[in-house]
Amino acid sequence: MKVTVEYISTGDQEIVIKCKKMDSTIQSLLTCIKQADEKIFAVKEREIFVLHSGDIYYAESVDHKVFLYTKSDVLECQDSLLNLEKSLHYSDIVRIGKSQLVNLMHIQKLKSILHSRIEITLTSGDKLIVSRHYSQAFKNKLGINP
Amino acid sequence: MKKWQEIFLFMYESKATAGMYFIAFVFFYLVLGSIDKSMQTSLQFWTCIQLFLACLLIGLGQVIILSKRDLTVWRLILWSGWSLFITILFTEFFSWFAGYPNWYRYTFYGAITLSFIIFGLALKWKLNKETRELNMALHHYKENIDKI
Repeated sequence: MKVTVEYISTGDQEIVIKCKKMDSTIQSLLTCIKQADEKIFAVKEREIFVLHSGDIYYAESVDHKVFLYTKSDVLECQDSLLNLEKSLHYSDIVRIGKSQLVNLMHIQKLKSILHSRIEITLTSGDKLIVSRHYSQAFKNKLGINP
Repeated sequence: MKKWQEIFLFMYESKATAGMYFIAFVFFYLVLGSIDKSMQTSLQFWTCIQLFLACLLIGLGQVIILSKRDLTVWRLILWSGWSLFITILFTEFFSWFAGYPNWYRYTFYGAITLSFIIFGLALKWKLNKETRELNMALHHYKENIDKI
């Protein structure tokens, strides 16, 4: 598939896909583009902020509340963790536990630990654990197949 | 998660180690009798239960001591110490090798100690290998995304 990027200085940005028929690859590409443009609304001190998936380092559900951790802030998301995961399915965000999602692009290093779990060190210095239940899906996302 | 489910999962985690040591214990208990035809060795039901209990304690010890975030040398030493203590305690208390020559008991202790060292090394190598693979995959993933 030929990919052409044209830079413009004025006007709206747009993506044009030229295809003979709507196959699964094009469909995935369309979904991916739509998801990449998706905005997430989060609240901090009664102010509403608009975030992109790339801004989120990790998300955590605590007492039925979902918190989004960015580089320097912690914001509350009104959506459930499951809906958040679904809406960010095509992004770099992946589930690592019953109550946590992580953005792969903000991972500094990984460490395999006992009982098929993985320790994540984020670029922010935070440490998270990929539970055994989600470790295979996590590896699959990275391209490691069993 | 309910308490009984937690206990079950806890037991489940230890199954591989407990099973491995149970095979080793049974092997040591019976092997001399199969080599030395003058000895009559057979495994009684209660001895089998004792062997199983000892192995279960070794397995559970592994889950408790080595299941923390970091696999450190100190944790391995602690678990090895605990396991060796259980091995010696059960062997001496239940006189497992009463009818055997003395050297055999010490060979058994030596073999079990050696297994702890091998166990620790194998575990460390496996985790290090997986860590390298994970970080390489992460690096490739980020590279590919950056290209897009």
